Amino acid sequence: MKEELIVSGRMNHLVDPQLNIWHWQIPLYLFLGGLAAGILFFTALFFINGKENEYPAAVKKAPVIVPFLLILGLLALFIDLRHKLYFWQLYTNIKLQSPMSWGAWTLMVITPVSFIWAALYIREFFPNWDWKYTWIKLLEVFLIGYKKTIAWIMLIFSVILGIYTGILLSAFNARPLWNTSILGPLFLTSGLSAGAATIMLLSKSAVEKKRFAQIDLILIGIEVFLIIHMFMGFMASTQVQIDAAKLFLGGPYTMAFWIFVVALGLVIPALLEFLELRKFHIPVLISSLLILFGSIMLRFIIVYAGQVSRWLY
Amino acid sequence: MAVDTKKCVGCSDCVVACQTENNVPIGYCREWVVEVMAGTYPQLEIEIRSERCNHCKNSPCVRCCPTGASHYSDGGIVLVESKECIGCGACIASCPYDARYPHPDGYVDKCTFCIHRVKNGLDTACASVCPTKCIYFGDLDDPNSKVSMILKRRKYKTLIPEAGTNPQLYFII
Amino acid sequence: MTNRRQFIKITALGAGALAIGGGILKGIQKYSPQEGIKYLLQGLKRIPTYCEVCFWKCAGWVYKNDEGKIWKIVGNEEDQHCNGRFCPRGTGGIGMYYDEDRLKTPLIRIQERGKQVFREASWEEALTYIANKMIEIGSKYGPESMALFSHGSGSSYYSTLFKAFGSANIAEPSYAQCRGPRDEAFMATFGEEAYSPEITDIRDTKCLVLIGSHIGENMHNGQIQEMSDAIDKDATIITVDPRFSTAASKSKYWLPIKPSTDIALLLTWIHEIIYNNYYDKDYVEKYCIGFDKLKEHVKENTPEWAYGITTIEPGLIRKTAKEMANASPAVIIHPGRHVTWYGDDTQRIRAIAILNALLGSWGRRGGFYRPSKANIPSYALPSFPKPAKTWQDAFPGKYSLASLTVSNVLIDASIPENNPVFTIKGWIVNGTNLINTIPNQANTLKAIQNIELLVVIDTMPMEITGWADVVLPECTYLERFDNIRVSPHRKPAIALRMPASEPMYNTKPGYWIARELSKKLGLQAYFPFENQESLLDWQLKKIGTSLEEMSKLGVKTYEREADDIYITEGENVEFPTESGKIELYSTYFEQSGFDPLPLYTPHEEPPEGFYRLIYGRAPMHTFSRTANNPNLTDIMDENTVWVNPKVAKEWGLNNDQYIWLKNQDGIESEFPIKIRVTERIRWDSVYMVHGFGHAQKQMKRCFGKGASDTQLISKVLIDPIMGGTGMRGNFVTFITKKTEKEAI
Ligand SMILES: Nc1nc2c(c(=O)[nH]1)N[C@H]1C(S)=C(S)[C@@H](COP(=O)(O)OP(=O)(O)OC[C@H]3O[C@@H](n4cnc5c(=O)[nH]c(N)nc54)[C@H](O)[C@@H]3O)O[C@H]1N2
Ligand SMILES: Nc1nc2c(c(=O)[nH]1)N[C@H]1C(S)=C(S)[C@@H](COP(=O)(O)OP(=O)(O)OC[C@H]3O[C@@H](n4cnc5c(=O)[nH]c(N)nc54)[C@H](O)[C@@H]3O)O[C@H]1N2
Ligand code: SF4
Ligand code: SF4
Ligand code: SF4
Ligand code: SF4
Ligand code: SF4
Ligand SMILES: [Mo]
Repeated sequence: MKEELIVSGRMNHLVDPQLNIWHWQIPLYLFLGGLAAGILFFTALFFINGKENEYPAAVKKAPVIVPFLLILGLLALFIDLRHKLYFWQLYTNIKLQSPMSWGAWTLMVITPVSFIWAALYIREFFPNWDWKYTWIKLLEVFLIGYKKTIAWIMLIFSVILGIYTGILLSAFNARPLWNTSILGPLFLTSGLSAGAATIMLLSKSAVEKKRFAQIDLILIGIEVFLIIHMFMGFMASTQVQIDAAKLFLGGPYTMAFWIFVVALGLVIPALLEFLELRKFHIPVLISSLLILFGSIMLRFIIVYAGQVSRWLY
Repeated sequence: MAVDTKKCVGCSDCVVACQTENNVPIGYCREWVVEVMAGTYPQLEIEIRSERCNHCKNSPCVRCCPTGASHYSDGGIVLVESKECIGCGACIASCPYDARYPHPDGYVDKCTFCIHRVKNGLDTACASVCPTKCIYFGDLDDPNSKVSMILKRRKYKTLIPEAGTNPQLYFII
Repeated sequence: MTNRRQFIKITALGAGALAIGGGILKGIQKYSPQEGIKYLLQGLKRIPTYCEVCFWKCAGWVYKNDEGKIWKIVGNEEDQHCNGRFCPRGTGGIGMYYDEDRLKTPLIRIQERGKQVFREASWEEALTYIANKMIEIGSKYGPESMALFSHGSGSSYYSTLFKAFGSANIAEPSYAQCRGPRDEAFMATFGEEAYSPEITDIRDTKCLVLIGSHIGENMHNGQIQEMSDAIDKDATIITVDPRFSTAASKSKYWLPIKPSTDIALLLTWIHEIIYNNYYDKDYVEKYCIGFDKLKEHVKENTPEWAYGITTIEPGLIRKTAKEMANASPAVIIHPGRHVTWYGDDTQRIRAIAILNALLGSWGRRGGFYRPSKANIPSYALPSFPKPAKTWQDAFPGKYSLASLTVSNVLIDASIPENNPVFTIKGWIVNGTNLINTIPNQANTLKAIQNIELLVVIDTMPMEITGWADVVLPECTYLERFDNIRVSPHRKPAIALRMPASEPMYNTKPGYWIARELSKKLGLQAYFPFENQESLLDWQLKKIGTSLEEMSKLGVKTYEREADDIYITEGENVEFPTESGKIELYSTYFEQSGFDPLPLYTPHEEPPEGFYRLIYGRAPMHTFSRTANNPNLTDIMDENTVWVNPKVAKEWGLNNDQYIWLKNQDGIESEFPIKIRVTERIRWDSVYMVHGFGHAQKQMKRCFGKGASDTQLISKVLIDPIMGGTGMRGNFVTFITKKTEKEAI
């Protein structure tokens, strides 16, 4: 028999028996960040390709909600901080090795950019919108001239943001479940897929809907591939990573993961989209919402389960 | 720092002393004691370890800190500057040893190697209280320090070396 | 029976113990280096104290922070008891001061006993109440009807009060529930006890044998420190314990003995040592008597014989006997401390004493050193009245060799049905939680129902306070002066305790309480000093120091008058026994009708489905007293019951599952206790730490945490020699659901 026990100390419920540091705020922040990244990616992509009018939801409508998503995400992050008065310290330091730091800086760049873009398209939602001050109007005119540049900035930073949501976790060597290079691409893909789903939701154009359904199907395919790959990676690795994978293969997170993330969040919406593409009439609402749901659940489950997984010694 | 697991009795005096010396609030701790028993009655063996932050030379907690609150101080001691810490918890999640905790005042706290004492030429609180005198603290770069001497003489290990953190807390086995 | 202990004290002066007195003292005056100076430079205050969390009495310093609040306690580096290092309990001692559940003001009962309805009272009212009741009891039944149960530093004040009142019924649980058998056995053998701190020279030993003593869990500071030194010096440690104790895990040899069979092992070791000529011949010849009788006595006690009884392999017994012989005389068969186990405890410790004598370790380096004690003059008090009867008259002929008061006799004598010669009618209980300290709770409660006055002086609302008529809140040791500590050690030394803070709430120091009570009893002449400071200053000046000086030193260590810590080659030693020799064969026991040589007798075994209940200490707690301490509950807040995996499997018990225990008499533990499945315990026993399972709601942190071993110890194996209460003859079984509780 082997008996290992903590004789004393470590009475801190936030650290033992399992890490309990990050609660709903972080997964929500990661989801919103990923979603925003996904939307902005498509916005920029289609704008740069000159498809502004073919894909109005992607380029004009969806990005208008992005600033709100980002603000909500930042708010969640802020709520999570325990030493809030020192929040500003994030922006007096640039720590290239700290994902948290460059995430904060990425947001610092992309948030204002998203505001600008949203402002330029605010009339999509409120046709009678009028900027009250002339200087804003002048600014608007000025910025319209730089749309392309802005789009490029958005494209680059949305990819960084999307990857960041995964890297934030995967940089933690200490949590075997997170410590896989697949988390970056996985979260990026999941963010893109969520972005695509949102665009589908907002879109009124059949062409656009179809295109995004196709994109989404591909993304879901990639996601499934990445998930399988991730588990194979775990199972082929050290005991701690095998144990981490087991959280989902018979462990406490098995049901939640396979039902909420894989079945409801990936397989079923994929099926629905597939049927839809085959001209079955299925409201796009269902699959889009399922994808968004799956995307949220993925973050929640990975964040929570990751805190359970630890090194043994 | 080195801890002799052959002498440690797991009394947790070090834990209490750390708590009072450093005003660690009740319900939290900077150090803890682990006991590992193996075998079948009556062929048994126990290893007892007094654990704390390993003051890793390659420490993920410093790396992942977005503000630089977690930093290397004199002699490689890893410290948290409470006035720079935003309490994001990244360092807590990054430490494979779970050596950090969120202080109720918001910042993150952990073992400081009692730098306030060490600077004054005193032993750390845990080392100076330990009834079995099994905690050795000193300069690892000085070949004549108590720690260096004992590590030369005895077999030792570090915890989770495979995590690549290069821990500086040695367990004599 | 003449008081044997007194006789021994006088003769002891000639031999081991060295008395220091008067002006001949030359102190070594030194401020504690390191820690002290550095902090003093920072302007922080430190106040000397000695620790009250257990009875090792380490001297230390209380540091205050810049706000003037008590911050931490650290050991005094000059102190031989602790060498600058406190144990976890001492370090966490501040928790006693800060515990918000402390007793805060005097309380007087307003309903019948057992129902806990009190009202707050002033000191004046409470003390008047007590004095009137004592005078009433004194005049109705005689002053000897009052009994004092006391433990800890305050004892001497109430002792004085009792003696002045005319009662000699003054008991400490450290005798009949703890060290009594050991002290009697050692006195019978060597004419001296093993003292506290024990005079074991562990620092320099080559072989340390622990019979049950679980040093490392039993945190008696000096011993644990020296055991660690011994490990550094590669000393052989041999541990005899049915449980894989922490000490066992540090030992070269662990003898996993079947509980209750130690005497068989000890006799066999004696056999091995004698018949292999391992013993110290010169020493035995020169200093011991009764060797031939002993040799004859253990003739049959071969390792093979012991194997059948103890389950310890003959080879292991032989090997360990040889190890001891190799180390002789630097070998210690530890006398133990809490030794009231099976009722034949004095005889078991006799076997230990004999073994030490054979190996020549008594008075030798690495064995037992000869202690030396500072002598503090006491102020001449009026002589005490001679009590008409003492506890020994209550049940004539019983425990004739007990040299101190047997607490359980006082309890039994409080129950009229037991037909004592005289009945105890009133108790004062100071610093002892009798409910959790004395086995057979039902008996204690019955006694309480029969007395007319129960006064409890405590710092915490412990179980015993719930039964009191009057509760007097003493301030903690950090808030008061107490007597100068003069415990014997390698060098004579004194230590001062000073208040580090004003008493919190409406609490008072013991000296003040006793003195105020003496005024009301018309006995003020016995407390001539207004307060303790003036008494201490008077005493300290008599020995060439002062309160002023001691408040800076904390501890003052003196050189021994002569270099006589060990017996020197060929020295003629007169041992303070009746024969002047070490008595392997005790004629003294023989005369009193007890076995002159220890004998093994089998003890009852657990019935089917039951397991022997054994208990011990956790390093972070002292009995009940720390159970609610915020700092210490933080590192351990409940006890667990250790169960061997085989047993757990048989019962389907899992780690961390809460169950109840039920003993052979059908008593169920009041609270559930967590299972710890571990290979560290034998399959015929279960183990738990004493001091948990508190039933007093006012103690919020410890109420209902874990189970109380005392509650399950209803069968008491009394030592006929000295009245000790053997507590390890109880058997328990597991219940997963609690049955309806019967009212007590
Ligand atoms: N931390 C801490 N330390 C303390 C105290 C405390 O409360 N807390 N109290 C102090 C006091 S007053 C005392 S008296 C001492 C007591 O401390 P000790 O004198 O060491 O007490 P024991 O009862 O001998 O020790 C209990 C051990 O005996 C073992 N044991 C049980 N049955 C048997 C048996 O039949 N044979 C043998 N050989 N071993 C057996 C148990 O497994 C356990 O390991 O501790 C002192 N030190
Ligand atoms: N079942 C069982 N019974 C045992 C033992 C065991 O192991 N198991 N051990 C036995 C042994 S070895 C011993 S020595 C005895 C010890 O027996 P006790 O000395 O009775 O032990 P504690 O439970 O610590 O009780 C001490 C009481 O003193 C109070 N107190 C603490 N500090 C002060 C103070 O400064 N002033 C006053 N007035 N009160 C104070 C505490 O609150 C507590 O109520 O128990 C014995 N009984
Ligand atoms: S104080 Fe020393 S012996 Fe006690 S647990 Fe800590 S390191 Fe071990
Ligand atoms: S032990 Fe943890 S907290 Fe300490 S330096 Fe290493 S990673 Fe950082
Ligand atoms: S919690 Fe504080 S110390 Fe830790 S990573 Fe965040 S800012 Fe740095
Ligand atoms: S070195 Fe100081 S801070 Fe670190 S564990 Fe020891 S006592 Fe605590
Ligand atoms: S051994 Fe521990 S509890 Fe006992 S007096 Fe010393 S420091 Fe205090
Ligand atoms: Mo005791």
